Amino acid sequence: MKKTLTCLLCSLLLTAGLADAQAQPKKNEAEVTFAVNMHCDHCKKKIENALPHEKGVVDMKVSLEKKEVWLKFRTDKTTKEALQKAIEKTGYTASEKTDDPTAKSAATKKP
Amino acid sequence: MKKIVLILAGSLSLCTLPAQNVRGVVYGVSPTGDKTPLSYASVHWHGEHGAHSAVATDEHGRFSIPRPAAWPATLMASFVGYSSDMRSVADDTAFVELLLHEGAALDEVQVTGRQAALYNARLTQLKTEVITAAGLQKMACCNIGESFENSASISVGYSDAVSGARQIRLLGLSGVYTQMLEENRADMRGLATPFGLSFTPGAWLESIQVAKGVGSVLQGYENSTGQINLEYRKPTTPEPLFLNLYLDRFGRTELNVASSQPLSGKLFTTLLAHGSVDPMKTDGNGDGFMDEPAKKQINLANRWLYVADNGTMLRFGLKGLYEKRDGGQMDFDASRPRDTSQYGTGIENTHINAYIKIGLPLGRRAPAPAGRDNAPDVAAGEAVTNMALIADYTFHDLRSFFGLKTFDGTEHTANLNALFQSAFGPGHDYMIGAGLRWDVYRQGLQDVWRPVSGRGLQTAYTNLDRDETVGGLFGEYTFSYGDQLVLVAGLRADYHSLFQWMITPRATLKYAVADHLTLRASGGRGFRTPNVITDHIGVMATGRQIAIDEPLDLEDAWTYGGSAAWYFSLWQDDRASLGVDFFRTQFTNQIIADQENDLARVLFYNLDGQSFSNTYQIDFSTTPVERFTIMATFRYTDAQTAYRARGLRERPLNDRFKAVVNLQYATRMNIWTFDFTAQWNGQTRLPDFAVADGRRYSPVYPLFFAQITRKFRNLDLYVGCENLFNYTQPDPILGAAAPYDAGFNSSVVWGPLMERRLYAGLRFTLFT
Repeated sequence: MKKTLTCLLCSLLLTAGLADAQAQPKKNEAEVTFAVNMHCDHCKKKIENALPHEKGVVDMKVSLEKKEVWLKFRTDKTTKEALQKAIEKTGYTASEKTDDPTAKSAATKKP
Repeated sequence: MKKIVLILAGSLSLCTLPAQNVRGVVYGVSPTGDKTPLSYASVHWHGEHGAHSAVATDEHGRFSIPRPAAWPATLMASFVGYSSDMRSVADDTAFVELLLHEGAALDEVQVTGRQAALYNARLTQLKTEVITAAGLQKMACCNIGESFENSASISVGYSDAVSGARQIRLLGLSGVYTQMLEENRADMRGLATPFGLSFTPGAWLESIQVAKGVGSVLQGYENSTGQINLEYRKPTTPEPLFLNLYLDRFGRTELNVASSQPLSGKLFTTLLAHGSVDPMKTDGNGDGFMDEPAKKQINLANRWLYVADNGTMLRFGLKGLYEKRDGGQMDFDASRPRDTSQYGTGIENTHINAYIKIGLPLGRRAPAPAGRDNAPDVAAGEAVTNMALIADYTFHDLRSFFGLKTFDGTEHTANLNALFQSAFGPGHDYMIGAGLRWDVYRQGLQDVWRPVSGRGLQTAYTNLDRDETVGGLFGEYTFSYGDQLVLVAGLRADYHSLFQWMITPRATLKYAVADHLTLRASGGRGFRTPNVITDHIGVMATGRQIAIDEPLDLEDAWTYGGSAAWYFSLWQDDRASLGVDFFRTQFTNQIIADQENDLARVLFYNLDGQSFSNTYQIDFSTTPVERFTIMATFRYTDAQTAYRARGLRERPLNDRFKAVVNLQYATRMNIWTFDFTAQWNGQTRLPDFAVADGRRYSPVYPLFFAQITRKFRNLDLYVGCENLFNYTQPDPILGAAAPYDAGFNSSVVWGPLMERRLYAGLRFTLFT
């Protein structure tokens, strides 16, 4: 059982390491921030339930305070337009924010 | 302690014509600072005809309300889970932004991220651990008794090795001294106490708050060591279907269904259902007894909320439960007559609870006294005059046999409470109220035992019927100086039909020295009426005579303590936290269940001498890399009681320490979540009769838990393992070979009874 535990811990740390490695921007990845008319925690949950499973989505941060959804996606698998439609499909309006270079940091701000 | 801050956000442009309506938006601000528009909040003009002008906010939190007949006018907004408030609006105001703050009250909705499974709340008046929905999902958490594995504050054990009854310990004392609350109403009292921890499925809950130390006088005199408040799934969250299915290697199968749906802008409801079976008989340690009883439970609840246009809130609900447990020897045959040839246990619980709560906003706060206008106005717009009426009724029926011993009881409890809340001025709030409670207990113990000297069995019947009527008045004053300093002082006086007057003073202080350092202190008194058998259900699972030696008095204890929480930057985490706390409970009277005085009897008597418990705890948490959280906590307890003829001794079977390390890592977007928990459970003093080979203490033992969760659209799948290293207490039943002899004792439990538990489950959520 100790082996199981060791394996579990190793895999956990390995996964953490891999995830950090993935944090480096890749060539075929792009980022986009949408202004979304979310208004409650439930809306946030709805978007967090749907968007991660859209084709090509690599990472996502949702900020209710800023009403923003930041997405990192594979450019060879999806487009900003397709992602916008995916958000709209959950029942909200989405428009790309292009003028806010701090969008990601705001969205990732810890509560 | 909910507060509302109203901010005038816009002004009418001089270039535009006066609008017909005043428009605005209502936001809710969570304790974490998230500002979100609130739909279905009620907004109206305050005054004689104000209620008729009420409008509700739309799905974006916006409202548009016709201008009042006269200026200046006061606009009022309210929403469930947030307190209401008012603001003067001038005739040139076109747009009003209202911020409804979720405050520090236990009854608030906790909105937290997926990662925060357990955290120490920053805004609460008492040191409070919050186990969030995420925390409830990171382990099997079938019911609340299984929700505290990540907490060092609470130790969870078994009352005995046959009934499967879980019991908690907070501040080193039995869970009976901790008040269980269901959305701030006292719950699981009296006969529901021994099995109550299994009566609320974890999947029904949104969060659990564990507050240490004495709390408000508002909820009664019964809390000594702390309060555990259960927050249910909210009727206001539109999730028409939530489904949870769970299965483990012992055959436990559980289904939970929840449905929350607004029926209109004013009426909301939640339907909760639970069914579970635990059919498999297992005997891992080969003592001939089942490790846990076979169980089945059905549990239903329906909760309603109605929000009227004038801000009046009406909540009501009904809950019903039936649970059956069959344990004892593996080959026990319930169809055969019960005699000394076999030993079995049968426990049936039936529980019904109905409640109604009405909250009435009556008016705005008293004007600030002259000279206080420039005081730090944190409380601006915070407190309004409110009135609340709460009524509830509980029926509980417990039928049980442990071998030839039988305990049957029926309880009817009715509660009525009226509260009035207002303020003398900014920063000076008060609450006064009155309460009435009726408890009717019809209970009897049929005791059967074999005397040490004799061969035959002896029988005695003890009538434990009791009727209680308690009427009380209470008041609480809150002084706040900004967010920095909050002092709450409360006093209640109750007249008890059996024990006469009880005076309960309590005070709490919270001082935020700086943004990164908060100090808390609390102290006060708590009482409770003992229920001899249900408070110590484990004594039923012994071969001894149960002897109540003298009339038992009220239990009476003082608890005081303090804590410090420090937030700091560590690695890339700007919100790492370190907390320390100390609490002491000192009993003036306690009911002692003494098994060491006389080896043939369990003696119940009033404390004669000292009884105290000191606990020291340190908590640490950090997120060193994104989505990876480390939480570590350590608690040390020193609990001693004066026993008859032997003086002050360490309380038996009380763990001296508990250490917990929890690691959680989630991949991006929480697609995969890995949870790992390690516990070190400290030694406990073994009762004298259980000392073997000179070992006076149980061993220190570790326990490990792991779970992996995979998220799909609308669906979470999880697999996990409890007790990874398969550690169990050897021979938890003393004298298992002769269950009708005085030496038979299954109440000496200090460790796990169940072997490694592998489990898997799914959670399906349908969003609207």
